[in-house]
Amino acid sequence: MKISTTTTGIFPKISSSKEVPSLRANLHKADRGEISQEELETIIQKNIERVVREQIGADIDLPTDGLIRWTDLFSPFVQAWDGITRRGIHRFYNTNTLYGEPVVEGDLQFNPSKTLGDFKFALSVSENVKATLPGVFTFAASCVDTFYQDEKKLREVIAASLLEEAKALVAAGAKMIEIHEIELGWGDYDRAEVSEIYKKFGELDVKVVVVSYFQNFSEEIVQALISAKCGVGIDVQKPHSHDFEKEGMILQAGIVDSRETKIESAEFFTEYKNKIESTFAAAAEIIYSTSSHVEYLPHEIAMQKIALLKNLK
Amino acid sequence: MKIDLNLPLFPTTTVGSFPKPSYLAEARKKFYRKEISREELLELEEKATKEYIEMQERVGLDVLVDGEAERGDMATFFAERLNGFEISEPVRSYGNRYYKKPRIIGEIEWTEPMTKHFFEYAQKLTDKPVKGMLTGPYTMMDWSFNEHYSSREEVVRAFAKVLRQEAEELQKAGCRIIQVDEPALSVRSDEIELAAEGLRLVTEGLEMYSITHICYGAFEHLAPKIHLLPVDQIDLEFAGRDFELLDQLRGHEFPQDVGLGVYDVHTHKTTPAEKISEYLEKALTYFKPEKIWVDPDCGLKTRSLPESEEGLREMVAAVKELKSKN
Repeated sequence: MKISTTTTGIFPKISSSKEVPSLRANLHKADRGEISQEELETIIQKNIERVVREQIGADIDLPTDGLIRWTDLFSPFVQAWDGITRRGIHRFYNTNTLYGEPVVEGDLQFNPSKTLGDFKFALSVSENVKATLPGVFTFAASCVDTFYQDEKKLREVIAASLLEEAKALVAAGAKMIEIHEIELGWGDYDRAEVSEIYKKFGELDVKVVVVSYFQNFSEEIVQALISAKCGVGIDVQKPHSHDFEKEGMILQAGIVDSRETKIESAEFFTEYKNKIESTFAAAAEIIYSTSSHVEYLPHEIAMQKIALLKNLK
Repeated sequence: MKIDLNLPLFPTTTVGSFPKPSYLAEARKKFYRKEISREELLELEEKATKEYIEMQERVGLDVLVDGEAERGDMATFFAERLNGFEISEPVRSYGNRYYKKPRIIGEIEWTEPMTKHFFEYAQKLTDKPVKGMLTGPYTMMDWSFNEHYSSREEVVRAFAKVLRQEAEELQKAGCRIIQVDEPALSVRSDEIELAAEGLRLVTEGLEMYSITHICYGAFEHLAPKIHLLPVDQIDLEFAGRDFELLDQLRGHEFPQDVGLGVYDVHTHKTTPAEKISEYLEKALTYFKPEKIWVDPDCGLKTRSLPESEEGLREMVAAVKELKSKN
């Protein structure tokens, strides 16, 4: 069984580093027109490089590009695609972070988002960088749909656009795409539809891992994702089921709690590692990770926590 | 306890925070760099408070707030003044906005009044009632990292104990309306009983009219249980989603008074009086007139002072027109 490590989702966008220009300060400057868009782009790249190097420094096998440009899980796509805009803010599931509520007000048409450019730049820092996309069900459930007014149709068109994003990431060299499907851990969805949608992602020439956090997938959803040839991410500290076919599966095990600052003990890791690796002994690969977005933690604590992941290898 | 406040029909108010004037934002930075003393900062915070009160009087609001000149983040402010905390480095809440999230590292203990000075200072400047403003125990729990207590319930009860003490201090200072904000509850309807317990522990038996403010969440899940919250008024954000929330509340029990957020505070565009009038007419299809208070969707700290004043004027104009019809 292959064992590796990764981090999940948005990385802390700011750090105490004096070597890299402050993203926070420079975003404010850009808002006030004190620096140009070109200058801001350079600062964004320096920060992407910082987060990739920080993860490499913590011995993470599959670093993310940090999603430095993303204000929320949907923002880069809402900005790029036609037929969709955003209105007021809304709390993201059970967190104290907010997202701009996407509003579908026309026929949804794909345009490449800036995610691809950021990912390509991150690949120039490390060829092992993985890509990230929002989940189809999560994206659709977070939208206000004034155009299709048909939930299934909305998921279908969002899936088509996200699939185009995924294909572009694969063409750019992505070896793994992590898809954030929080909604599938919360809502009651048809297993056949989940399987049908994710089959198209699972057929791509890339490792696709669909992750949930805050609440885990049901057994039926896990089975649907596995049958679609996707890996599955779960938060192992939260209740989760094991009653599904595990042979050859890819499991992303969220073991480091990214919503609490308390540092996990060595005993905790030993206990969980033993439990996971015996329960999922038939899996092809286990990828240990943070339980959800790393940016829920302050930067210094996030760095302490992700440094612990190497002990699981 | 419901008390007679002797207020006009459709009382107008705000949710709590006001924008920091540039001199105050600058002074706070200087204070943290130790370039000015605590007393010098306090003087400027009082100056801002006086300006907030003057603005609210000028606009014609019925129930005023001190404007929270001395507060940064609504959870961090209290954590900085209680025992049992360390304050973390910043974490992001949205866009380019960050806050220093409290870390609970020991027993939570009240040491001295936290909000009484600015309540008293503001109340002395006006004959209109000023609200006492607290962040609720459930929200304090949910918006803190917990490294000490063994359960979320324990944390809520610990916060409720210290916030009760603070509420009693406000009551002794003459406060007759207390607002205990619980925005975190908006996405945690599964824990509404816990939030209700916290609110009860803070407010039960006080001779004050009690309000809780909740915003930006999944109200479709909260609506069926909202009657469980033991307060006199629930203040909600309605305008940001064009009053869709009203449809989600229909058919559910809502015994409390309602604070109607009629003005979207997350846009530079002012909600015009005509639009607010439409919202109010819509609200009257569900709530009885005597149950309605009127205010913005949320705190005004993300807006500029001129934007806030303009928005509040539109709100007051719409209420005036409505009163002429009722």
